[in-house]
Amino acid sequence: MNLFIKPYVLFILLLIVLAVGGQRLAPNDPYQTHIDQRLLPPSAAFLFGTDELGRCMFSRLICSVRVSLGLAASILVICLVTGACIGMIAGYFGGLVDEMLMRVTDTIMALPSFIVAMVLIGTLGAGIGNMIFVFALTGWTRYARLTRSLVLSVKNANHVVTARLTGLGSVYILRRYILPAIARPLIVLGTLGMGMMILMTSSMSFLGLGITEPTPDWGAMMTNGTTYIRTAAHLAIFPGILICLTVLSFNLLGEALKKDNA
Amino acid sequence: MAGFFLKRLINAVLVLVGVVTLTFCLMRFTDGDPATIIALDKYGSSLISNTVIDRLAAENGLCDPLPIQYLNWVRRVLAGDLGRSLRSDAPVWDEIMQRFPYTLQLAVLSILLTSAIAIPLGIYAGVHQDSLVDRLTQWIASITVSVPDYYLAIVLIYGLTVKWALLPSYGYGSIAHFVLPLAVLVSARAGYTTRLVTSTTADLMSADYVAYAELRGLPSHRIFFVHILKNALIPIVTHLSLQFLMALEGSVIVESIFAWPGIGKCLTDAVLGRDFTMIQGLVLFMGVLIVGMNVIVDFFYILMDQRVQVAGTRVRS
Amino acid sequence: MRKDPIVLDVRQLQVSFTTPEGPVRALAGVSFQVGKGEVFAIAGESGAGKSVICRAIVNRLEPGASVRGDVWFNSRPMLDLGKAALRDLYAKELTVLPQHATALNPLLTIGEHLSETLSAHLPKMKAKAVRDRSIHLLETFGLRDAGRIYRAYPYQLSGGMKQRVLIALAYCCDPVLVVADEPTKALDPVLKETMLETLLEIKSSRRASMVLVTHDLTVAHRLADHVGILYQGRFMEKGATRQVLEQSVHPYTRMLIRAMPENRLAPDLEDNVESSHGHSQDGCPFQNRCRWGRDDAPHPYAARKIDDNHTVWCINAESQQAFQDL
Repeated sequence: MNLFIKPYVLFILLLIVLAVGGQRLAPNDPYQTHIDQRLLPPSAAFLFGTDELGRCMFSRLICSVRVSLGLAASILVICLVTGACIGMIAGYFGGLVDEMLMRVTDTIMALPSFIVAMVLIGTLGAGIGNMIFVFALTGWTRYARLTRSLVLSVKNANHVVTARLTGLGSVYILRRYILPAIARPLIVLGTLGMGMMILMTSSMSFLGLGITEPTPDWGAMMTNGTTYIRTAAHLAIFPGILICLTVLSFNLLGEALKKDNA
Repeated sequence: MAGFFLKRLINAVLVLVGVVTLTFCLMRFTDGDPATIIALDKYGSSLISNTVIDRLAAENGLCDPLPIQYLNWVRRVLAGDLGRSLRSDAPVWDEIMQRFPYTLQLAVLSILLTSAIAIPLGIYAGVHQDSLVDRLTQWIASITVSVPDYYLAIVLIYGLTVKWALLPSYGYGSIAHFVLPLAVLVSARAGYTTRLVTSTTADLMSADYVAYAELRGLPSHRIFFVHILKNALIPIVTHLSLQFLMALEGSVIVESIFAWPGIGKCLTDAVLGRDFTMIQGLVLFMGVLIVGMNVIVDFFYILMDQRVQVAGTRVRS
Repeated sequence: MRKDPIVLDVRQLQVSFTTPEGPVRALAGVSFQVGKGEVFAIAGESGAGKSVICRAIVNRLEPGASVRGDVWFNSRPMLDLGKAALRDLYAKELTVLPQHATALNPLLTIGEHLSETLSAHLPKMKAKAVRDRSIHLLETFGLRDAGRIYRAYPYQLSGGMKQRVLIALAYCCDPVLVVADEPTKALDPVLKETMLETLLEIKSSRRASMVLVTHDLTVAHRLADHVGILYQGRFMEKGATRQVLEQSVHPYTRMLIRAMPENRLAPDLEDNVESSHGHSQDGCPFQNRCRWGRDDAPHPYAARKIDDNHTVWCINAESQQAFQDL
């Protein structure tokens, strides 16, 4: 596929490499402070400069990929799987089950997910586990809706009706007929949703409610950067560029997959 | 028509009841005894003793069984008493009312600006698909949607406040204070909304009745205004409630960065400071706002779409 | 050939589309004429190119289409006309009868549909006259309680009523030619019968010509004066309806007629190979499906006139008479 030569795909692959490689790929120790070398602009020794504790920004950024991207990806996968399951059950079994599940889905969908997440974090406390819980609680709804409508359209297709009439079991039909039909559109929606998840999780950390120091995380690094915007702007600029490029790459990938799928 | 509206109204009331109940549960969700938490926040750990905690518990009615607490809570809410802030001891309702106008100004302005940009651009791009305008707006929209609000805010602050002192970076005061917060709020929503309007319009362009209108030799202004625009306006208007939601969510970050004295910043401060009564009050307030907005938009939707109006009145031949 | 004035004259119409797989020739040289008050049916299976002819006649082909040949409507070259000139013609002289009621805007009343069409082409008419004429039109086409229907939205009407509205819309400005693309395809048998009767009645009372595209030979038989059997973008047989459908000569026409459920004879399935599209041979396109095409030599696509009102494109035409009973 000519998809592989696109710049955004290569960028995402780079991100995956960084996430997997982690600290091993960094030139310096991201947690190592150099009190005498604080807030330095980019130089040969420290490619992106140092932060207020003298830590190497470049290394911190590299390590932050695993943290931030990993967090967003985990939440997304949970949402995808949960949403797909709920959507499949609703779509396949129909009737009262469908009605009730969709009621719940619609209600949660109408809520402002970020504000809900904020409030819940405020009540439960910060931390990675709570973050995952809080965002997964409201994030699955779009995938459930999509899965349900896909299942409904497949369910009434001739080959599925025939399969049911010939007595094939529900689980088998779900696995062999329905799953392949919903897999690709879900992946497309998931890719498009990845950008949103990154934005939301980093916003939460930015407000100080998510991942905190000293773990290198995009949102947390941005908060830091805001404090020093006047004296050392590079603290905020570089992480921000990384976030923008990441979200943009996922969005572009999602759009390309959507066109491919249609 | 009245029947449809009534159904939506009942739905809205049910959702409100749900919001009230969930808000009540929120407070009880916290780790540890609520009374202890209140005491800690109010007096600091050195001044705590069991007597203090017990007294607080009695004061706040935290000893009664849960259903009674719930009923008391509902009664108090309906009377307008949302409790007192744990931080400032001021009545929650007063705090919210004092701050809400600021957020409202920002929200209304951002929605107006977003619509002013997105609707004409989107419609033009939808009508002239694959034109330069269309592709340009798609491109710009992709970028604006990918930039986090806080990053854009920081970059703008850096560029326009630090490097060249053109605009104030925080607070509320003059028109100049509006510029940066609005710029941030509008940019991301405008991109998203433009794309939405474009796809809605584009779908309409290929509608059968548009093609048939052309085949009947109708003048192009009639086709545009009556057949395309009128049908496009409905989904756009219903989208307004989503816009309001986005404005509210966006205000949380924007107000925090720009120290805008609205309810968004209030929520952030309350969450960071574990001011539970404030959080509760804000959640309730925002819930009512959102539900109210949906009801209003539903009302306009009913007015505009005759299909809903005359649903159930078939003409017999 | 014809004594009536000719309303539509299509000459050697060729249309190709560019697709990712290469150029596809949808029409490979189609010619026919429609006189005043006549109905010309174009019959054939799906994909033969029938809709393309309709779109070509009204000059609404896709932007990527390349066209050769001429379409003369009332001595006007349709394919050369600009948008403004076409807009003038539509509804007033040349209309389309749509297949589905989705051609009606759900947010406009029936009355608004009619009045906007009338006002666009008869600007001198006052509002009240427009309204009266609209209501009268609705009554003429079998809609009782026309006043209520005038004020109704498409959503409130039944399928049959919407069909009549579409017919009323098509004829509201008294056009000279109506192009109907499969008007009965989406209808159940009762509605189909009503539609056919309405169209027959219009034919006798209004003297409007019609180009009727259909895959249903019974419809062609009922309504048309002349019919052309289209296959892969070319006519296989053309002429007066009676002769083409009752005394068919071309093997393809025979196959179509035999395949009709009314005839109780099943098509010869072993001979019925799936037709392949798009390859531009210049010979007979039906050869690979034809039982008389088994010899290796390619058959030419050449016309044979059986008489003034009947032409067939088949080299076995003369010897076909011997195969009448098959």
